[in-house]
Amino acid sequence: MMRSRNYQIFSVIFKERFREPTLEFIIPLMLSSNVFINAFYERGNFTIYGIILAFIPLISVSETIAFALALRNIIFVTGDHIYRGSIISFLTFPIKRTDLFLMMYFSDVITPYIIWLSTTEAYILMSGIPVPQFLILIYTIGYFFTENIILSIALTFKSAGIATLLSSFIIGLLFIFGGMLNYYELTQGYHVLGITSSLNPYVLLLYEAVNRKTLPCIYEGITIELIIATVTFFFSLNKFKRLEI
Amino acid sequence: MIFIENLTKNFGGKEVLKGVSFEVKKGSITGFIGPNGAGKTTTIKIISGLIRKTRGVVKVLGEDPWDNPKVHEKMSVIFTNLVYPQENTVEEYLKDIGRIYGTDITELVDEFKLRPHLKKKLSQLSSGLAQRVQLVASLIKNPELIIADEPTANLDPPARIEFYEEVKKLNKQGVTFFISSHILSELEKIITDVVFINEGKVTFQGKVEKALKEAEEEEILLVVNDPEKAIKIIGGKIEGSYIKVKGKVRDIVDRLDDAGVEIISLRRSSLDDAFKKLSNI
Repeated sequence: MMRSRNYQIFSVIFKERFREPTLEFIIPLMLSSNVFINAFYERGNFTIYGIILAFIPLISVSETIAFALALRNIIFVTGDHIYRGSIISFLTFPIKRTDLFLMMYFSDVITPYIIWLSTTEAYILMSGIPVPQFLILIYTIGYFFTENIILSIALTFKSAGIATLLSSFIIGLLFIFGGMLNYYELTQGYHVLGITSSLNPYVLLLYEAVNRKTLPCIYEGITIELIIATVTFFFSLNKFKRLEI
Repeated sequence: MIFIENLTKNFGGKEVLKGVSFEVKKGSITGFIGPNGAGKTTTIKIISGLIRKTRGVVKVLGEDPWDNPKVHEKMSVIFTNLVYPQENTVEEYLKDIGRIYGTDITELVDEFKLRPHLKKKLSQLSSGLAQRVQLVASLIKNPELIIADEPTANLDPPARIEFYEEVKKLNKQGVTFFISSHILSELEKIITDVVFINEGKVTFQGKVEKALKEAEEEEILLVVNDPEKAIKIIGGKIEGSYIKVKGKVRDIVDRLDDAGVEIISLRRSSLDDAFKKLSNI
């Protein structure tokens, strides 16, 4: 049976991002790399602290792979198509630009996230470790927050080199200095912790785990992240819709 | 097929197109001729829906081409270089396009003799072969209109001739072509209509014969067996191995014949000359 034209266009876009054996390699790797959840898991007082450590990006290989895969898709596939002009082929497909953008976004950003989510949830289910779903939510919002910033940079500067350097600089700056600011706020009093927690909420999570008390301002942080993620998503969509090449 | 009226396009405050107006009729092969920087590619990109107009009216197949899938259903665009991601093979590229339009590519692959090249990556193709592949890809959707931006700029003469032979063949089957170029020697043999553009303005639009006629005084280039004797009889000046002279062809040929000068080659004024004349270059 002939599938719809939009589906065929989507399959072409998807294939460009996930040529064989990308998925065959990535899915088992992400599933098995969740072994760090077990590695950091310890009965007793260390339990929650260990689980949080296991979910910190860079320590969690699975999260890092999902993040890196999306970053590669944005900068070195979509960004490269724009830089080299091969995006013209896709822009001359019989499809609205908004639909094309959503297909690219699904392939570039949402697919690696779905792979991460399904492999992680499968691992949690199979391992029987009681992982708080709040950690999944924290990574989810942080993931879309950073990837949407990278996407808006890639669409603004239209250069793989600039997008890579600027993204690394901005994300690194947010994560490292955000962590330092959070530490400062936690030790010196909670003046703007709600705002700084949006930059690196893992410091607050570790604080909660160690001190066994909750910091409600963490919700302010993830709300700020969510707002920025939404704004940068619509900024990117608008950039793409107006893209002249 | 294409209707453009008072089209303007500004880039960073600079007006690149200054009120361009012209029309491309169904069934024609229209040449879009102008020097580098005249505004050809900008116009073609606006027609292709890749950049937006600043002002004016642009209708392609009756619709505004910007972000309009209906236009892309029936129009194909060919560029100087093949713009599809280069890591794909010819087969992957054509099959991808074929899947989108629900077309079996087998017949086209055989007709254009692409079977031996199917496993080659697009980045490995010669310029001529890449253009042949691009032409096949453009035909998969069975288009009514094909826009080509300097399609032969990177091709050697045999590949150019081959490309234009295909254009002629397809035009006979009802496909309308709008082809931009600044290399006119081959183009002028196939086009039926012409649009001249210079410095963002259309300087002439109409039939090729009309353009040549409006260029008035014919410039003739001759190669003869005795150039010095010929110059004394018909005047003009020597340019390389040619004698360049203005006048009527019949009269010049008669005078040289009477003097016993043998004409080896004769070329009448071309679209190049007509373009220069009509664009005040």
